Amino acid sequence: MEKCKIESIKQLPVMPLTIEDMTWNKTGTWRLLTPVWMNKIAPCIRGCPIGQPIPQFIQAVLEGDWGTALVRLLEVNPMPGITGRLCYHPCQTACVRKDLDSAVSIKDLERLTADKGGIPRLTRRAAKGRKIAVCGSGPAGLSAAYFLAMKGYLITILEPSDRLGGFLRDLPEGRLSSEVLEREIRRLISVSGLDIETNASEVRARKYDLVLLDRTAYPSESPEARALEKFASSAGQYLDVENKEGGAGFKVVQVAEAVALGRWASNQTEQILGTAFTEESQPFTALDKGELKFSRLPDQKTIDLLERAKGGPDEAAATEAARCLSCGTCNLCQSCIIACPDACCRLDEDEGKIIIDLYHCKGCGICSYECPRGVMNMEYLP
Amino acid sequence: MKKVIMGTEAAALAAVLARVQVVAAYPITPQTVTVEELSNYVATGELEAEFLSVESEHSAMAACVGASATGCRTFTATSSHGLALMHEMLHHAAGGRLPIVMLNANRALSPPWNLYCDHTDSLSQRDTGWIQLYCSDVQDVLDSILIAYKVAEQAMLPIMINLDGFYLTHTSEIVDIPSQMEVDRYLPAYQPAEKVDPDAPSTYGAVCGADLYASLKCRRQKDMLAVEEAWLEAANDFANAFGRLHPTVEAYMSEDAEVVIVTIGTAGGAALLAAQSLRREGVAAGSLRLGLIRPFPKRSFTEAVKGAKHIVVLDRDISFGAEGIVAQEIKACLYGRSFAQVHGFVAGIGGNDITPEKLIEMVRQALSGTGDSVFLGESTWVEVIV
Repeated sequence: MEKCKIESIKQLPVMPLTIEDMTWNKTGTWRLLTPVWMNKIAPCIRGCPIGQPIPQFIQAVLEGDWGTALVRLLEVNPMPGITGRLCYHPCQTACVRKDLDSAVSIKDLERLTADKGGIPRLTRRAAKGRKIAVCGSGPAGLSAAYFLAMKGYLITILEPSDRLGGFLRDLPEGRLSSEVLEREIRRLISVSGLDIETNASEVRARKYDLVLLDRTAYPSESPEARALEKFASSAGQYLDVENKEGGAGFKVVQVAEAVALGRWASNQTEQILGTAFTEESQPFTALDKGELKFSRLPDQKTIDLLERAKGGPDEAAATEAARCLSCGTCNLCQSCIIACPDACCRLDEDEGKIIIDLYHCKGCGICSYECPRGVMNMEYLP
Repeated sequence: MKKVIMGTEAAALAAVLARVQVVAAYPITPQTVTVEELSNYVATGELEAEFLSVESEHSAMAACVGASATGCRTFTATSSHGLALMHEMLHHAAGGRLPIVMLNANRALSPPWNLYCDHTDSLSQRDTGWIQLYCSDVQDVLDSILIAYKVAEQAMLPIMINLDGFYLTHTSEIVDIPSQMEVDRYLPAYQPAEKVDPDAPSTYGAVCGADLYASLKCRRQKDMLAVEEAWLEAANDFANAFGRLHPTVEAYMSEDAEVVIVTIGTAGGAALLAAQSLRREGVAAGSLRLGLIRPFPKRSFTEAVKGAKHIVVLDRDISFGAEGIVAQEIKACLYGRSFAQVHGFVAGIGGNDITPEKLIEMVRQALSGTGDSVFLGESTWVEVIV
């Protein structure tokens, strides 16, 4: 750095402030601990068998953006309108808000999102030219088929009966109307672009690289279950979605678990075919409730958004969504940006995240202390 | 419009008329009414400002420093221990060249605990670089705050407006309140030459080497010394607009006086009455109230007392181990310029009332060398048990 040449005091401003760019002063070299912007798995996400990004979709609901909210759900759950009705919501049992007043009605928000979100466009991965047959169209089979189709495989669902849905068809109208079931399946097909063969009688195994079998689709001893067993024998080699030995590690007792099983089976299939994407693994750490700070309820940003939503048709949903604390999940409240004494936190609007200028961050930790959601970690990075 | 209001209310009203944009203050007796009033003005929308409730006076001044640096007209108010807690930030405000205006209600420092008038709180902050003004009455409070913003924003230095605790903060008087339009004409919006600007980032109060540090301090001293004239000019403009003059020193019959009673704050009125009484008794007495004490109004003061043989100084404060602080200031000012004898009296500290009779007694003791007051060091202590 070359020293400034000052000939007269008049060259200097009256306020004692620097007159040249100070970014040469890389104060980041003074840092011991480094702030790391890292979303955590919120207690509700951990409670959800499917691991739905609950704070994220609720944030979109809060902003009145049903389309985005639905995309967040469809990324991990092909039938939110069904889970939003049938699930016993372990997410709400885990909700932190429960200890403050009452849990956020996550299930209802999920149902509303599915009902209002239409048919959004999701990007599928590039076609891999591999063909997979999924036999049986219970929620697990549909889910496996959906995820594999989204991953770029050519999927054909082979259904022995004349309609998709498996045991979901047999539920009483009051629990799940056939209208909703039809709609959810229609969307699943439309989003993933998979093929369907109803009234199928056998599997022409040569046509496919792999055959999946969903034995959870129908009650055992039913005609459809017996038809599926015929598929199994005609296919020769197949992967059982349920794969009882060394499987997903849980028993399917309800629809959300079936969806989770389907996703797990889709990952298994990729492993078997050797075409797995490694980027799927999420680098998130689970959240300890102790990391959250709730002294400043309700959050300022939340109030603002709620105000905006007032009087609109979705007011009730927005009011409920505003109750979500967004545990461990950055909702871009920008407390860190306001609090940083060195102006090192910056909002990346395109990526929807906070960027930290590590050349100048001194590691004071104020951002981490201020973050109401426990997103900013202070880590020793040698 | 004329209204009967207290000194604390007048201060809040002046802040409203000055259209301050940020108020960060912590309540403390006897300043509390000012903070309550301002909070109310902001809540009702009569004052469009950011009112920051802070957890301490240190934070209050820190918030004012930040606010003022962004180019906002900023106001705060404190007293005694609150002012003492602000000490570090007072340096920051002055060194940062931030034109903050602050009310200080002069109150004794503890222990022993005492809520009443005493000037040691503000006078012990003399060297922080703040312009210091002491008000005589409620009208003076209102007017001085308006003049203060004009001077502060021109000099880029903060100003402390001092009010005698209870004698002025809690005394109701008739006050002529100027209209907002008139005030806007006298005091336009603050237009800072420099301010925090995210588009042109700078470091404020960055590290500075010895070479520039001394030069910057020298410039601050130069700018501070110029405030005496700047105040007179702003006060003249004010007098032209509103018909009330608030000079740096308020002298009464001092031109031909042999003995001049010097005071700061509300005792000025009693000193004037004492001078009148003494004149009737044949003593050529005058009185002088120092409005400014930082910068010390050297020119106005020496001019006003040039014929005096005795200067009786009332100090509602004490610098332990030396003497009354105002007396020291006057001695320092007159050294080598006058042969007048300076008689320092320490009286009215911790709330004792200063009456004309007491001042006459002080003058008598100063001239005769005998009386009930106790001579100690360089000062004579009034109404004390030894």
